[in-house]
Amino acid sequence: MLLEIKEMDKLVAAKITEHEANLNNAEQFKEEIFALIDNGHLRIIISFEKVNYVDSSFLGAMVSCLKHALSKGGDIYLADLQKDIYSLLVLIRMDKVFKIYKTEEEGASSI
Amino acid sequence: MQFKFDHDTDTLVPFLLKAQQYIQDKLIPGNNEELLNKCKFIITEFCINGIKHSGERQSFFDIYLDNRRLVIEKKDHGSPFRPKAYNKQMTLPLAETVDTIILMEDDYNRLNMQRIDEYSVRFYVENIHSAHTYKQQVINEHFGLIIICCSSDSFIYRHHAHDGLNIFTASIQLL
Repeated sequence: MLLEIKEMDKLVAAKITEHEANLNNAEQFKEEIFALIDNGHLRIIISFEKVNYVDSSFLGAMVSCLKHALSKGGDIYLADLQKDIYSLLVLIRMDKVFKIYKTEEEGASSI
Repeated sequence: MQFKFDHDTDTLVPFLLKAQQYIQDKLIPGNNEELLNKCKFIITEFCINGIKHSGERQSFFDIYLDNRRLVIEKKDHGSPFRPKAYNKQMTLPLAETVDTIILMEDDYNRLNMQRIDEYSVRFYVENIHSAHTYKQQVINEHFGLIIICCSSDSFIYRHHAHDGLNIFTASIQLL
């Protein structure tokens, strides 16, 4: 499993367990998030705490998951982004696409 | 200096670290975090492009300073770039009637390709201001070229018809 799942009050927290979020694991990430959504977990906060590298393939998978969640009335939130990953999201304006929280805890208490 | 990249995702991060170290040690001393991040994003996406689209086993990177520009160039002998606009596949050489075409557009970015000549094009991104609500937003899922455009001041692709060489050149203007 790529994701470590923790059920919380109003949402599910999914922590990526690998340091690299890339072409190798983008499809697995998508499958695991889709499965969560299809099982009724419509609000998911994804923690990037362990991730120090993201590529375009993984970003594509993230967007695909967001679209799936939105189509079912849910949402995807991001948290614990390292500075350069956040910079990448800002550069390509994905900070406007995803709701981003500094930490998983901050997200959980705000959502 | 030239670096060889073997098209394998397992070698990507070590390659990236080596190239970044070279930029930091030899070309841009100091710790310009923003510039180094942009280099990292460009090199990563050039590598991913090589793995996914070239059909070759390796590509070569030239990283150098040209006046006040940092240039990152990827070369391979793989499949030539085949732009697709409005679901219509185009091939090189590009007809003279082609000027600027939109390769991709969503609620945030528009990726344009401008013809330079029959075998070379320039890519650039324009920001879009969406009128859609959050839940209705239209979002593209392909970010490679957009990341390179947004991380550089100029991004050009050239193809040498005589020997099949593809050259992707991204440059960043230094202050």
